[in-house]
Amino acid sequence: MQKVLLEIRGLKKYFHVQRSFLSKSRGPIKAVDGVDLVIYEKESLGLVGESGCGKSTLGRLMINLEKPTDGAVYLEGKNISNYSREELRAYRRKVQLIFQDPYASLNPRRNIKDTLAEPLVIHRCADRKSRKAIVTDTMKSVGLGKEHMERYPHEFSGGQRQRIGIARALILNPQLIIADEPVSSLDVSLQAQILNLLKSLQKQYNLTFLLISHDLGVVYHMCERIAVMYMGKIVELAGNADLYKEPLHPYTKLLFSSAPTLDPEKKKKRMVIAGDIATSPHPPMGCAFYSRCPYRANICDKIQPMLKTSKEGHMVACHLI
Amino acid sequence: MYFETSLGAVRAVDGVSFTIREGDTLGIVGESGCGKTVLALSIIRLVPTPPGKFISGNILFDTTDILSLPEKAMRKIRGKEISMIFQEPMTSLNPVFRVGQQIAEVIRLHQGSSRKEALQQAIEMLRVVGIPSPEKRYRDYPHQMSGGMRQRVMIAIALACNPRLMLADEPTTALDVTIQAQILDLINSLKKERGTSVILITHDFGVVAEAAQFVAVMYAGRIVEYAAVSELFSRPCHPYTVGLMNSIPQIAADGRREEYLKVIPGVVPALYSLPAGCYFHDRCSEMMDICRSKEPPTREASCGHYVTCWKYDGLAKSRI
Repeated sequence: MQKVLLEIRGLKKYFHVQRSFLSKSRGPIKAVDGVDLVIYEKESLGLVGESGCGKSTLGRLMINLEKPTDGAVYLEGKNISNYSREELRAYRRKVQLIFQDPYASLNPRRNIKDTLAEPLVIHRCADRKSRKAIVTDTMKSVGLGKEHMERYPHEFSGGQRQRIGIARALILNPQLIIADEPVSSLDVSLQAQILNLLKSLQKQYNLTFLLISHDLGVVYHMCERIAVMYMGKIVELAGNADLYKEPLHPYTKLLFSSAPTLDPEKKKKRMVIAGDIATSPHPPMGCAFYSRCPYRANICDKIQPMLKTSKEGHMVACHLI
Repeated sequence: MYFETSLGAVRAVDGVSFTIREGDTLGIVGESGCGKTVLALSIIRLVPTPPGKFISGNILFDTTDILSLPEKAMRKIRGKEISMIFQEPMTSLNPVFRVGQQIAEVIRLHQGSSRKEALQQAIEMLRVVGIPSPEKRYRDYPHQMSGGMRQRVMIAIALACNPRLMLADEPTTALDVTIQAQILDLINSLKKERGTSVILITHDFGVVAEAAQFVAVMYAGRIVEYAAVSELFSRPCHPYTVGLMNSIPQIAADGRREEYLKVIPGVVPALYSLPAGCYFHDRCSEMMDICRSKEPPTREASCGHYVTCWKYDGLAKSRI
């Protein structure tokens, strides 16, 4: 058995929407609603789902950017919300985030050298001299050269900016990197370059990855295990080959069948389901996918399905399996 | 179509020729900045001039040259004969008008219907594009709708006057995959029903494979390869097309996956400082000496499959 690096138990995050003077109070928005997840050391775990399913919130909860409503995140067996300031600082050294929009997440008034050195300063990692060497080394490992050091974010292209974002996450030698849609704003040719970079860095630095993406192809290419998320819950979790060969949850089936293929000859009979996340009310007691599910049964709107193991390494939350 | 800028003339669209038949869908694929959107805006004459400038060439719609029409005549065509679906439905719908009104506006303008008739037709259009209970939803403002619904409203506006050509600029890029599938199916079925021709602009080969009959691959303002969709996917010729296809992480049928993706090195050149010779030569894996100095010719690799690359110079001369 692999060693567990990070564990999430019963994690919930509700956002309370302010009551406006026109509409009725909507009740809390359940962004993350009871998620259990284990990340093993040195694996890459993919988290897929459509926009609004809570995958980014889950990522932010993991690095303590949001406080959970309920449940907790454990790193190597220790609850991170009980951490002292010092422990939290150490935690943030071990777990780093790569953001989706590399332009918005870089300070436009700082050159790259300073942006990259800042984590080292905050964590008091190295003296001035060795700092420079670390920055140069890290830049080299993401494919940036010395000539880039004095430049500002606006002088870089999208792909290069994402490389800077990756370098910033790497510079403290973290154990776990959470990448939140790292390639979704890039063109396919750049996307491929960045994905290859992430893969080779993972090998080089023995990293653990959590890759958050809406793109099944990307997640399938990068990760050994994939978790599918729908409306704040994980509905299926399996190894990538298993998930592809035998998707069990109707929502996973829908996702696979919606993803366009590159083979015009093999235009498969697509499963198209009306409605979308935002407009599908779901029964408060039952399954979140109830109103869109083509296979729904009586039980589905009464009892919430739990995530159960259907076979070795393949878990699914559906009554019909 | 060139743009005058402070950095010199930008050749956004440079010597592009193609034809589209009635009822066909032509996919135009390329990365950002390759001139796809400017091409579409030129066809519907929405490029502001200046800074834009048509240097040469013409766009024939039936037998009318769109580029030489006076603006007043163009307005009769725009929205009625040729319409456009924009990429971002939130920014291209007017936030302070109800969606029903926005559809009715097109109908009143081009068909001279009364306010009431137009509204009835607008509601009918909402039904056609699959919005549930349209007699209620036509009173919604754009912000009350989800992304997929807004894109449906855009399609309703574009189709309201039964245009003969619809330009769809990245119609599904801002949407989730399940919604994307719904919208593509909708465009396909409406196209078949009404015999509308569609120019589908996208950066996603998957979308093209699903929805188009013909594909043009653009790079730095030029079409580098043009073929029927099945031909292009089974036998891509241009190194750029091949490179793009290899860059897409795919779910293989047998569950295997490559360790690393094959990539195209480098980035798209800025349009104001294009390299000499073939614009793609410095990123090309099969670059030859001639590619550095001379622009490649267009050749027909097989029937109806055109490619602009020195690799195929031995083939017979032809024009698209």
